[in-house]
Amino acid sequence: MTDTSLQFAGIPLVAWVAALPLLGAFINLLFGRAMSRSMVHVVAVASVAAAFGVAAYLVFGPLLTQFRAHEGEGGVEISRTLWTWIEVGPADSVFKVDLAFRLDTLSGVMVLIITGVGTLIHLYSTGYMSEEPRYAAYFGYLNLFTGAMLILVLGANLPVMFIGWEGVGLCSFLLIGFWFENESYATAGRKAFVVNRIGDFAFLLGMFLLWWVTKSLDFNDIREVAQQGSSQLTSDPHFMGFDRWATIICVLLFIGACGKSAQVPLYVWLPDAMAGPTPVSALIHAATMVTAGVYMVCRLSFLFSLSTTAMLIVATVGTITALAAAFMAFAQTDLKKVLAYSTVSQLGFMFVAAGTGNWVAAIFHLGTHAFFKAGLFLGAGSVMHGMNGSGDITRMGGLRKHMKTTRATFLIYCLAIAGIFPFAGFFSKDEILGGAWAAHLEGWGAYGKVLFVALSLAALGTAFYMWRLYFLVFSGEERSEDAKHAHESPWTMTVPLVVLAALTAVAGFLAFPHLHSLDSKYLHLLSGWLEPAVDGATEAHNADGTTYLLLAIALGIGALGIGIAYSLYGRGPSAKVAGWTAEGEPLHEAYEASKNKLWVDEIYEVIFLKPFRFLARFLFEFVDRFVIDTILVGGWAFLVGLFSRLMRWVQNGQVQRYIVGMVVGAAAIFFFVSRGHSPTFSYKEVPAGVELRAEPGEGLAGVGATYQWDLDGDGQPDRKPGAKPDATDAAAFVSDPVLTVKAGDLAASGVTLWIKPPGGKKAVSVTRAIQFDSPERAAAEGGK
Amino acid sequence: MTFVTTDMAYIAPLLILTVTGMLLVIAESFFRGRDRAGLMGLAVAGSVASFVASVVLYRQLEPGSSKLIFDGMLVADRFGFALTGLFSVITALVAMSTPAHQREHGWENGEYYAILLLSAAGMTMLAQAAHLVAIFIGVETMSIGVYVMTALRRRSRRGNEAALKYFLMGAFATGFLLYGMALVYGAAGTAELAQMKTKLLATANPEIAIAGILLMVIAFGFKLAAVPFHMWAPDAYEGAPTPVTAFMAAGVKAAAVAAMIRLFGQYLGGDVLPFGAVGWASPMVIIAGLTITVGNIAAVRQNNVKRMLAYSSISHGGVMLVGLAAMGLGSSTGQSSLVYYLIAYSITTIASFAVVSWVGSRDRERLLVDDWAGLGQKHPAAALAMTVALLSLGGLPPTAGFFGKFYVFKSAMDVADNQLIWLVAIGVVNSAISIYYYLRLVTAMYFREPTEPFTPSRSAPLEVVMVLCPIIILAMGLLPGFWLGLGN
Repeated sequence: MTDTSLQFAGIPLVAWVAALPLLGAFINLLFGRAMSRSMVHVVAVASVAAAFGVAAYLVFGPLLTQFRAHEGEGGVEISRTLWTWIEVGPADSVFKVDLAFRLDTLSGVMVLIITGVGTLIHLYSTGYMSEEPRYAAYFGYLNLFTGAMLILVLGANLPVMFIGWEGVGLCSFLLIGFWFENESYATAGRKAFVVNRIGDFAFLLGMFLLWWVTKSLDFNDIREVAQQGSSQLTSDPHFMGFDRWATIICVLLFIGACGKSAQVPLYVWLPDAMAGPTPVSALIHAATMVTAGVYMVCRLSFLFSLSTTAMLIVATVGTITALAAAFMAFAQTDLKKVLAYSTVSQLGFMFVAAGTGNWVAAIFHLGTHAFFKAGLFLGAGSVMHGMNGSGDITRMGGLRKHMKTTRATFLIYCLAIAGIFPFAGFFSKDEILGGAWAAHLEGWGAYGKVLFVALSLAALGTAFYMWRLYFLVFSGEERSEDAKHAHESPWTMTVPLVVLAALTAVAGFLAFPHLHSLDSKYLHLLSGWLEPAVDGATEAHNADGTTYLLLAIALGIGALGIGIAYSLYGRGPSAKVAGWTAEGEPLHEAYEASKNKLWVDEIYEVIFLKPFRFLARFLFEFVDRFVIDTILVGGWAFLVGLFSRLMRWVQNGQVQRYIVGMVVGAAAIFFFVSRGHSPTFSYKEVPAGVELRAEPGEGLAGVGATYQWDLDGDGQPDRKPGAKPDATDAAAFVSDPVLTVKAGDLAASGVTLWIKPPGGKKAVSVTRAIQFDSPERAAAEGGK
Repeated sequence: MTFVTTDMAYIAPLLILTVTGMLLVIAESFFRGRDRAGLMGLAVAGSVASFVASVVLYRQLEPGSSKLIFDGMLVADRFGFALTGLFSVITALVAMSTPAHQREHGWENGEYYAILLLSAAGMTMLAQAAHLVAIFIGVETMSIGVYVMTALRRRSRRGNEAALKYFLMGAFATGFLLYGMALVYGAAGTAELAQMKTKLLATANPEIAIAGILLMVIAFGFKLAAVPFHMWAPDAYEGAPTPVTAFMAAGVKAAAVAAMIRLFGQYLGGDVLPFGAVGWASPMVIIAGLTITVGNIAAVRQNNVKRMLAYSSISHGGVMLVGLAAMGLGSSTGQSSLVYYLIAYSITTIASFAVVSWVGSRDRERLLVDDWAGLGQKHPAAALAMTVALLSLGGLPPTAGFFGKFYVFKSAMDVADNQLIWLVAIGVVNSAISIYYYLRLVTAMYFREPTEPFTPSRSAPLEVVMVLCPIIILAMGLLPGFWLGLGN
């Protein structure tokens, strides 16, 4: 049954959303070199903008209609199957994967963010990359990325999601190493790829296990099984197992998410990924790709809900990441590096939200973060554009005078990320903190409060390092010639900044906190919207009093962080900080730790890379060079050489020798066939007992032979049942070449077979004891 | 013996080839000098007509049905007509490859085309034979023609030596064949293949029957150039004019295998004691293993392209024997996979020899690997055609050669109790070894600089062959299903 509504040109509109950017990529990558620059970016921007248009139509048209009409759980979705992709295996456990897309309320939010922010960043790129020689390749990759990301979020099952998952990883690699002439950039791309592969491996394992347990990888089917499992946990023994499997599967999938979403310990690639062009950092390494892990966890929320252990791991890893990355951001002097650590830290916040079952907050923060972090990166790009490409914040300062639009929008983003009312970050961060405070998962006790305190610290750190950045870049006096001559960027770059700033300013109201005193269906639109797609989206939150208190604390923390930053960096680099962190002073160690990113890269180098390189050297020097090249390859070559010398001697060109060879060969064949083997018989276990098979030997031996068996061990050939005991004619004896008998009827002393060749020759006898070397049988017989 | 008119229709390919061959003898006295192209055209027309007749007859028969004609002398079935079609195509392609070589190397004998078609008529007879006598007549008609064609290049000493060796050894092998047939007839009391199995199972002299069968295995082993009866092949292949070598390697080998499939696979095969497991199949397993290995290892050391292809074709004959052994041991997919393999191997071989004769010219035959250096730069289309052919010979996807080997080895794996697993292992290891010498030529063509300008023997029909064959090779590799169904 295929639904033919919502199609264009025979292809479902849902598929068009992902297909449009892929089409753009196809055109730009294949024909881009022959096209003019304006053609290239028209194709690139238009394809993503068209995808946004289609997505917006689907979400605000048919999907919203369904949403208004729906009651209860699930059912708000536009699902379309293009074709069956894989179908293998026996009918009772067929492994079937459809190439199917599903737009529901959750993927709807993601699709709008990806295509919306994506359009802005494509537009911005036309200005930022205007001097780039490989213009078409850049836009081709960017379109390819957008298409892959849309496949990731629209996929109706895990394998389709995995296509996108790998696709975005590939594009990330290509774009980080886009300027591969610089070797350290190429290395950064490779690092991102390898670290992601580690996560992907775990993701695949999780996927295999999940199929093994649920026999389907479609999200709706998984959801069904998971929900049965959680309610039948005690009554159905199968799902007792499922509870344990849920933990293992969720942890494996979460490791995959750690790779993609840059969580401890797999976050190390993201700061290095800043080697890519800045719009790429904004789109891929801030707004969209790195949130794929969060999306995946939320998409499987009903599965993660089954395992408190997995949730605990998710929340803890998220908290550690949020804290550690915030700490590492304190002492960075590269504009984009600060933003990179900030991204890692904010992703940690999202995972804490997911780990505390606060799915809506995770998606909410994902969305607001997409706006302000993309904006921050684009602003950073604008600054670097004006600074002749330099990202060193110690050389900036005073840019408020030269870059008015960039500075104004940057201010809004910094207010948002610090969590100042009424900007988006305030609402989403408060949701996460409040969710952690109220977390009531089974067996957690006060752990939620611990998370709350740790996250509050991280939020304080966030406000501090972001405002340190702001003050160093825009306030005070110019600290270099480049800063004095900085200029504002062209409209293609500032327009996206303004649009994103506007979104940052208003997006928070999509999820106004739950306050009973302000009870209205228009509050917290997002949780109602996501309710059909994620687990327990509309759970009650804190009581009013606590909520107000938490809001006040969040605001206070943000203000405090800004205040500290202002007091230290308000007028440029601080002499006080330099004094505290000088050699021998109390904060020296901490400052060095932050500046050197807690030495994590160095630790990985010693623990993983050195042993690995040693192993690689060993394999190359010993196994490959010595064992394979010298012994195997050289040995074969020697044997072949020897053999061919023999052949040359035979093949000397004289017909006489050829004929001798032929005759010798013919004689050998006759010898081989007539030699035969010594007669014997074989036995094997079959369901009915033991099958005995006479093997008279090769060649002539078997022709016309007759057989007699002694199965009962009396030394005489057995007669057929019913034959007279003294009958001697051949027909009276058991004479089948193959017979099946019960194991118990066989004599312990062995079975004897007589083989009598035709023509009155003497019979040959062979006796064998029947033994089986299978341990079960040996044990059973030993016990008798 | 009754004469049934419809039987004549079932041997239309044979008749067409024979009549065209005779017409060519007559026509030769009218076409003189430059009009030789007309002879080639007539030969191709006859082969194409025979191909069309094969297709029509093939489609007219039900799959799996077979009909004895001429009192059990011949048989009409889809398998037979698939092969007569193949032999007709081989003949046409060889005829088209010939004029350029004749012009360059000065052996413009008009009788060549007549002999070619008569020899092909012998091959079609083998494809339809259902009687020991028919097999014998088919083998001899085919062989005598090929002896003569080998010797046609009279001024070449190598050619004469090759022809004489081939003829002497062939005569020796005919002795084996005839003696084997006599013994089998003596043991069974019949020469009709359809009745042979029943009669042999009831024979009073199984030793004589088996001796006869073994002698026939040896005789066909000679035609197929199986080790240790292969030693004539490198000399004959190298000495014969290149188009004739192609005909020997593709056509004669395929015809020998066709007869073996009929005789051993269809009528004496199956897991029935004593002719399945212990009759001819077990020595054939050993011959197959030896043939694959020896052919391959000898090819590794060759610097002469024609000789390398000769040894490679010996090795391919070994793979065909694997398929035959699998049929003998009761594998149900053996026949269809062998037919696929025969088509793939024949077309590939003709393609490779076509490029060999295209590259050489009067002064420079360019038979050494070093002579091919830089062909990829100078003549990319010819190098591409050769590369496709070599990859197919080496059994790399997506070419026909890959699926050919794959299906044959798979049918060998279908044999009960994994009896042929070692043979398959030997075959796969040898496939890997063979890549070495095929790719040596490919690297010479693409990764080395040309040392002297190429002077190819250009000729439109030859170039058509060089375009057509790679297309068929790729089509078979990309859509193997249709071709695999032909042999049933």
